[in-house]
Amino acid sequence: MVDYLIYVILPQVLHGLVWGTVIAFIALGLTIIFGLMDIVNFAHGEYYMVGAFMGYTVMSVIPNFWIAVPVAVVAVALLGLFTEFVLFRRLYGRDPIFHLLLTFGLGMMFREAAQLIWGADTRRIEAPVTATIEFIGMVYPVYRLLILGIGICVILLIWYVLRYTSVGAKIRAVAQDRTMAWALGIRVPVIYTSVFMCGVALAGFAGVLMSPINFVYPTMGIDVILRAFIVVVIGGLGNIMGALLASLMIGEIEALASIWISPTIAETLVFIILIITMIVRPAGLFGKAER
Amino acid sequence: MGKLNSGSNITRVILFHAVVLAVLAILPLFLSTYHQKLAVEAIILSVFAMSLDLVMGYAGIATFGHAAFFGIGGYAMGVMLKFLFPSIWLGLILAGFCSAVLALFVGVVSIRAKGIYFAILTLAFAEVVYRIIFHSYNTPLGGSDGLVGVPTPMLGLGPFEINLKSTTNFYWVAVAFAYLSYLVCKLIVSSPFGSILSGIRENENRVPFLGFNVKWSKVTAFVIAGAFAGFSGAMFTAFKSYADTEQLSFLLSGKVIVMDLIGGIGTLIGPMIGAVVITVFESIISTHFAAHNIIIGAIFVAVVIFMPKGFLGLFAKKDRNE
Amino acid sequence: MKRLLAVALIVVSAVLFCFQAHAANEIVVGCISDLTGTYAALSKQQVDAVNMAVDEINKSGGVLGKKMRVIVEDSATSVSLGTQKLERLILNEKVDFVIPPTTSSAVLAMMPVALKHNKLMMVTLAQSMKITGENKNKVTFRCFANGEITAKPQVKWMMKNLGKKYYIIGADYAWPRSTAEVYTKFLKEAGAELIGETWFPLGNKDFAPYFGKIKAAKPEVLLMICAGNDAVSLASQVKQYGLAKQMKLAADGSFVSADIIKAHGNNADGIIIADFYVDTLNTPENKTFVKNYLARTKELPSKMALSSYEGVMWVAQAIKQAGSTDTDKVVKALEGSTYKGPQGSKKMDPVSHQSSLDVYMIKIENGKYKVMEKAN
Repeated sequence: MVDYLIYVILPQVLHGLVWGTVIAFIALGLTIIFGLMDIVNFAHGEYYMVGAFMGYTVMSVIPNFWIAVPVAVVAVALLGLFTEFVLFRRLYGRDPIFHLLLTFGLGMMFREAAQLIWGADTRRIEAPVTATIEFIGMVYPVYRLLILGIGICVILLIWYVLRYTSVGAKIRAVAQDRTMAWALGIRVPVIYTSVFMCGVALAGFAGVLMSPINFVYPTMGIDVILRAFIVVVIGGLGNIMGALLASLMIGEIEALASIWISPTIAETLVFIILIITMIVRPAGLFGKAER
Repeated sequence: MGKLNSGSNITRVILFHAVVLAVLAILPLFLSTYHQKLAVEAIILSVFAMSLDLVMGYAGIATFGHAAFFGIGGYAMGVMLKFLFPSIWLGLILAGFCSAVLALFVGVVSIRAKGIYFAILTLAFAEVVYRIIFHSYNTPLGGSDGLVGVPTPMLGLGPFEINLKSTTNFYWVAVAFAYLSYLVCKLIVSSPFGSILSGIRENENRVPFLGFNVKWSKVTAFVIAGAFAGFSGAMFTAFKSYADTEQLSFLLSGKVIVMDLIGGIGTLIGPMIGAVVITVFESIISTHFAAHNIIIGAIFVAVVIFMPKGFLGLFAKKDRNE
Repeated sequence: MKRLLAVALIVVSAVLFCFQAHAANEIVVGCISDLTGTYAALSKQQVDAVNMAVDEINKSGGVLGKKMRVIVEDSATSVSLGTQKLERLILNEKVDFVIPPTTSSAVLAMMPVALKHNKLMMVTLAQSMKITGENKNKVTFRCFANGEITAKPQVKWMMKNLGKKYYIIGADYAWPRSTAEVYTKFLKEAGAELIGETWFPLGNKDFAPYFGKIKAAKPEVLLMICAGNDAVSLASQVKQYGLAKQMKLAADGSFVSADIIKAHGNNADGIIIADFYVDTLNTPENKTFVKNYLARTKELPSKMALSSYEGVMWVAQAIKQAGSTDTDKVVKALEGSTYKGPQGSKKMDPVSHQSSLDVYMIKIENGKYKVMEKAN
């Protein structure tokens, strides 16, 4: 019994924790952007993909992972700036369904453009750390633990900025009442643009960090977007803490469920959890009030 | 074309319908067989786009999982023709029934959610349906390989039988199918029930004070739309001789919304035109350009930003200016 | 109202647009390829190889005194677009035969269409078991391997050299499932023990949760059945979590196919596959083929490229033999015919419409294929 707990359950809990952080990473930007501007960014996975490709491009010139990461993040932020300025800006205040459609089309364009620029082949980025450690009878790659660490740091940083800085206070003010914030002299468009940039930059960051595990190819965004979407909705759209908890929950459920049931059923189960959550608590498991 | 109906000149309306039908009827004489096939596909998809307009344009609820009903209808027709009984009519009945039941379930369960939340719920339901069928390996549905080799039977019409293996015949049947579907939907939206739907779209909170049940009106609209999506999915399968999981995918759900937007929602005829335009355009452009998805994606983006009311919206505005 | 008519007119003229005439003294090859989407990389190889075959045929004087011409259509990994393109090629471009795309579901949906229009289809990429054998139709042939051709010799070799307890992990859709069925059949016949199976959803990213179960089952051989990006991720995680220390690794050929071998890097080292072609095959015909292909595309040919090349060449040979491009005659000529190409000589089974193929046992070493022995 104890053996079963240590050698079967515990490793799965750890897998779930790490994978949950990974999902949270991708989902964070999505939920921040929605929380502030009501944009459901279906192209979020494509910013993630661009981040990974940027990292790959830098790595092929300067083979240093820790240079590739910031360059990729900045590049995606600039792409975010450009798209926000040219496209999203025109849709503020319209029904979120329009954003969903806009980003749906944008995602198509990005995928195809990436294939034109970089080709359709799967590329790889070497992990900067290839060591593994032994732990309760199983081998664990250090790089995954590193991602867990970086993920926790980033999440704490975002939480700190939003909670305890004046910029954070402004952002929260705009999220709560746009018009009122305007009246108080907060430059709302600047806040919008910068938050959008940060949100997609987070996706780019996740993309380049994940690429040693997930590899780099034009359709990689589609593979992650639905799951990121699910945790954001379960956590309550726009709720950062909710997205975080939901990510960990989904990571754990999928990892633990795979001990007993087929992974395919576990994946479908996640969708069913989403449906039940939305029916029981339409504003998400950790949402405050009905919107 | 609400404008036309509300006018007093009924003969004009009838004349207009007759002219359009006549043009559509003689069209295949000028088309090659391939273009006829493309036209049939476009016409069948136009009914699918129109069915979405019932919920999106009239009841004002956005759904992102409409492909589920189209796909289920397709599979129902496939199962009927291949395994049960070779009759298009029975296939259509089964398809409409299955799609309507699914729509009833989804509708009842999720109608409480509003706006984007409803859209996401329908997407989740559609994904569950997609996954179940995608993984139904070793069942007659064929899993990811799709249900292939669906036979094309004769279409019995009282004493007559129409050979649907001829593309031209199928074209006329498709035109009749689309026209009848349009008439039925037009009747629905012009009825008192249609007015309730429009009321819900304009101001959901006031409708209950007029003594109408918002929830059940919405669910009814959703079920009707689901049934019509099922019909068109069934016709699609009957025409293409296969049902595939692609018909259930969220990419199709997104595409059909854009078809509606391009045509102009809340007009019934607009989405039909939108579907035809997108289908034909996609076929032409994918032959001539390697990176066709960039262009199609750009059209999506442009439509959403510049003409949320669609082509018909553009025309309507001009009318007012004249 | 007038505007509606105007729109209708525009649509009609758009449909009428793009008509093309077909010159009588040429043979037209329709190549439908998934140039956008998941299979884009290997589909590009398909198009390159088909073009290369046609250029070589034209250089040596064409077939029956006619030049050959290729028309490429993108089916974008979509079934509906695939069937639509097939109809366009047959009805409007009047192609003489068709090389269909990678997606099995699209090929399966195309087969009845090709049969209806009586047009030959030479399948060079799709792997579904349903394409040939019991479910074959008159006009569809395949010169690519299906699961059965490679699994049989591979199982024999594995039983002799690797062990008797097997665990299968694969992607949960029709092709890996049916391939696994074939493996299971041969494994049972050979007296092996199948101690477990794990099926993960397509596009899965994290395999670590399944490894505990696999390790606990203590198989001697882990047999992996998936392709593309799933295979790349799975191989890298199998390596990271050190599964190779506890069991031998084997896979279906597509797990390390040429389009992803570069992405694998060293992660796939030690994996045993059985396959019908690798570019390092040591025959003079293959060396010429590899040299020409490399000069043309700057990449090494995959088995997909080889198969597409041989498919066109084989049909051209059959057309020559039949003395006509008439489908019935070419079908007759193809059935039971033999063809000798870069990969070796092969025979088209007249009943199943599946070509025989030489199969080699291959081990991945340093990210490269190492042919160990001929297996059948």
